[in-house]
Order: sequence, then structure tokens, then C-alpha cells
Amino acid sequence: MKNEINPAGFRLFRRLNCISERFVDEALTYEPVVPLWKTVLKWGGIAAAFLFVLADVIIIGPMLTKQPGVIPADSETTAETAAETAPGTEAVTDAAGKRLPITMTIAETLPSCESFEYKDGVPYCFYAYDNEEKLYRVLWNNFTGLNEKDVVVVDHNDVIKTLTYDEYPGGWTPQYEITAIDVKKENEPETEPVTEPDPGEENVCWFLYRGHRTMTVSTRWVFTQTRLIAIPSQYRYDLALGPYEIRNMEDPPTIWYDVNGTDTITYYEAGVQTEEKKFRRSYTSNNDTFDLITDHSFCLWTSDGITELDFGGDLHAYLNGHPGTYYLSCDRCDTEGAAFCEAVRLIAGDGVPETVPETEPVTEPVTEPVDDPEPEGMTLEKDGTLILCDFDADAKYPDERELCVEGEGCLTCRFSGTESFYMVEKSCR
Amino acid sequence: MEDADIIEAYFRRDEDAITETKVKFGPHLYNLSFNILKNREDAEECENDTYVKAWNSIPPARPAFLCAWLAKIARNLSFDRLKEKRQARHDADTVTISEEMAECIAAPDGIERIIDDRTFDRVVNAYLESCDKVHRFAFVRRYYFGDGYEEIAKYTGKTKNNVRTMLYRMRGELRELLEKEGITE
Repeated sequence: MKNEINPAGFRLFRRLNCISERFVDEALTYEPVVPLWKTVLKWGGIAAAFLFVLADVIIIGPMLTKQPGVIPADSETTAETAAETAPGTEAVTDAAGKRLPITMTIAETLPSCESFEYKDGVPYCFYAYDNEEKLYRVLWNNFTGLNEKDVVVVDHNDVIKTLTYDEYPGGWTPQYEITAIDVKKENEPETEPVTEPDPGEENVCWFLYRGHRTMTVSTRWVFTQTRLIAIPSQYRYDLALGPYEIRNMEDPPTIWYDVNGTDTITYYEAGVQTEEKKFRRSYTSNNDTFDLITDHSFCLWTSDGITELDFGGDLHAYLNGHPGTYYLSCDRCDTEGAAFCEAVRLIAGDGVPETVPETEPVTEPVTEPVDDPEPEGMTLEKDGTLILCDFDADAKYPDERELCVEGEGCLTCRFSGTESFYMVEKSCR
Repeated sequence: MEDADIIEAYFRRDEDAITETKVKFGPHLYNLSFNILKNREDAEECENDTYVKAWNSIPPARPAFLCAWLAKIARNLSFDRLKEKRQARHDADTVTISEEMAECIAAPDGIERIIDDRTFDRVVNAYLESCDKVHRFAFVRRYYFGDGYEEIAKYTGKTKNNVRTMLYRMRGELRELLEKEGITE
């Protein structure tokens, strides 16, 4: 057996010391994944065992006891029923040639671009395991939402395509592709498993504020280690042109906003696009009345290129594009997409409000800021306490400063001289 | 003890810092060294050398990710030790990893350019950035920590073959990127 290392490969292995500490840290703190199908199989198995025992005791036992050696009259029907509900069967037909369903378990938590692919903004396929652990890519245009706990039954037409690596474009590697004609939710979970919150996932939030020019949010900006906040550079937030006003007063709090362009918000409900709107622009000439931050929240993240503005419940957010008075706040984002925000007020420096007429074209960018002060500092006001978040040019990392508020956690203020905006990351630990 | 507290202990020159570091990160560091060195004594020595180096570096250093920072030290020390020992033969895992890594380079002499080219760092990290968490985890665990497929599969909830396929594809993508950036040909 060959036991010599490949020198070039080995040097490259060593060279990978260049991998960012952030990724290394992420790998060290990674929580093991328990595949959904395993959970489902486990509980399904327990339920099946229970039913079997029950059937044995209640039905079969008495029958055997009372009529030894006699085959029940309805045994054929029972067998047929069992065949119909037998999971994991591919293109099985009954005696009449009718195709039987495949029972599957969806493969990943929703929403996730890992398990759902989108076409024209609408999910059109998902991944599912059958009970033989075979992974299917299920094409399905009639998407109405799935819950990760659902077991779905796929009534398929007779196309089950065996995929090879070359045929598969990316993402997961399913073994089969199937075109579903119907998907039914079969059962709801009895109890929700108690999941301990991951501090890295749940309690990290961040603030953005004080956009002066067109703010380009690029993949460079990753706000947390655990939640993907990287935003493709084609998504631009023209924060200086505002003030923009984005409101979500709707209930239930499961509406997503997908910002797919400069000024457009696409509304999704349960994963289905319902309408598309332009950012509503508003302007008030009385800047003193523009203090809207209390009880308003904003949360933003993205996954695999889908940028989402996510508001929870009846929370609503205002993005005020005035230089120096631009507020965004978010205190806690949970994994379900809701944002729980407490009243945190961020006040930028002494920017002069820019007068933007209400009739200004939506797409017109502002290339020069009215007022672009040096990063002298920022002020954070929380519960009436003012804290100066200044930048120390002599510090090792002059563009970063951490502020810790007792009992509240820490804020990291960052300044990007090239992008002309500040970011504050808050760790709510 | 939180990472920040441990760092503060280093700053105070409190020797508990090393004890706490060992308690909290020792197993990670040992495993990392062992994956490279495949020798228990050597791995233990590297682990201990890592603590000494950390003690000498903090302050002034104040690592943002303490464990990752320590891991980098341990990794470097392990490779240095490996070089010192001039091992002619390696275990099957290391051989496999080296062969897999070689797939990322079009020609064997392409490694010379990679070693010197700082663009490589950017490309690799940008590539990892573009990956989802599971893929990134698998890549880093395999090619930074030298973990086996089985261990990665256990953590990701995928099968060993899935992990193998995933990493195969990632190596191909990385190779393409390196070629595109002109780092390898």
C-alpha cells in the first residue's frame, strides 16, 4: 500500500494555516447535527413498536387464543392496507395498477436554501429522505410550506430519476430526483423537542447605522460567526437617500421581506411570494419629530444569497436616511426569524439632516454626502445611559472598540473608512 | 471560565490562565497535534509548547478567538516538529490528506506559487465564506484539523460517503478558483 505523502499536497495542507480564525473557531464550536430523519425514525420506530404491541395484545392475541389455526377473514384487506402505507417503496403499485405513495421525511429545517431551491423567488423543490435513508430531490411547484417535523407523502408520477454526480448542479447530493404531483402533510409533531438556545446563534445581534453614501453591503461583512449575515454585493442599500420607511404591522410574525434590489421589497408569506412593493419613501421636514426608535426593531440576515429583512410580530422599523440621525436597532434575533428588540437607541454623530424632497426618484443614488464627518465617535444611549463609543487611533485595532454594559453585554463598534458607515455589533450575552 | 477571563488572566500574568486553557482547550489542541504527528508524546509536547507560546504572546496579543488562535499555534508547532523529525513515512490518513490537497493544485510545482502568494489566503477564505456552515465545517475539520471522514460525518449528520463527496466537490471548486485567480495553472 502506498504510504508516501504527496509533498506538494502536504505543503498545501500546512499552507492552510491561513484559514481565518473565525472559521477555525466556528469549526471548534460547531454543534453536532442530529439528522431529522433519525429523529423521525426514532420516534416513528417507538410509535410503530407501541402500535405493534398494542395490536398484538388487543387484536392478534385474542384471535389466536380464541381461534387457533384460523386465518382471519379480513387478512387480505389488512395486508393490502399495510402495503399501501409501507414507507420507502419506489413506484410500487397495487393490484389495480394504482401507484402508491412514498412516505418521506423532509430533510432540513425550513426555511433554508440548503434544502429548498428557488426559481423566480418561489421554492420549487425540496429534499426528502424515504425510510430507507435514500435522499430524494423532490420537484414540486405547488409549494405551500413545510414544517420540519412533518412527514410528507409524495404521490409521484412515475418518474424517479437516479442522479449521478455529474447531473447534479450543486448543494446536496441526492440519489434520486422525483417529480411530485402532490404533497400532503401527514401528521403534526406531538411535542416540540426542547432545544437549548445556542448563545452564539440566538443572542448575537448587531446594529447598522449612519449611512452616508450608498451603502454597499458586501460579503466582507459578516456580523456573527454563527448566523450568516454575508450579503452579496449586488444587494445595495441606498441608505443615504432616505428616509425610507419600512413597516410591518402584520400578524402573525412569519412574514419575510426579501430585498431583491435597491428599492423593492418582496413579501413572502409562508414562503410564497404575495406581493412586491417599492420601499416607501417618506420625509418629514421637522427633524425633531423623527425620533422613532423606541419599540421599533430591525433585523436583517441572509442565507445563501437571499437577503431578508425580517420583522417580528407587530414590530416595525424605520430607516431614517438622514446623515447623523439614522437608526436601526435589533436586540435579539431568534432562529425562527422573529426579532425581539428592546428599546435601544443609537445616535450617530453630528450629521446634518439632508433635505430630500418627497418626489425624488426612487432609484436616484446620492453620490456625495451632504456631511461626512470624520469618525470621531458614536454615542450609544441605552436606558438613558449615554456611552461614547469612540475610536482610538493609537489602539491596536483603531477601527474597533468594544463597549461593555454591565448586565447587558458588549458592543463592538466598527468603522470602515472606505465604506463610510459604522457598524455596531452587539453581543447580548 | 470565559475566553475573555482567560485572556485577562494571561494579562495579569496569572498562571491559572494556563491551567484554564488546558482544561478548556487541551483536548482540541492535543487532537489537532496528534492528527498531524500521529505520535502521542509528540502531540503532548506540542500541546504544552502551545501553552508556553501563548503565555509569551499574551500580552501584548489579545486574540479575538482564543481557541482558534491557540489551534493555529499548535498547528504550526506540530508541522515544525514533523519537519524536525523528518519522518519518511506517514500514516494512511496523512497520506490521504496530502493526496487530496494535491488535487487542488494543477501541477506539482504550482505549490511554490501558492506558498508565496498572499492572494491564496484571500481566495481560500473568500471561498470558505461563500460556503454554507456545514461545508465549511467539513473543510476546516478535514484540512485544518486533519480529522477523518467518519468524525466529520458524525458531527454533520451526514454519511461518510456524503462527506467524501462534499469535500471532493469542494476541492474541485477551490482548484477552479485558484486557477481563475491565476494562482495555479
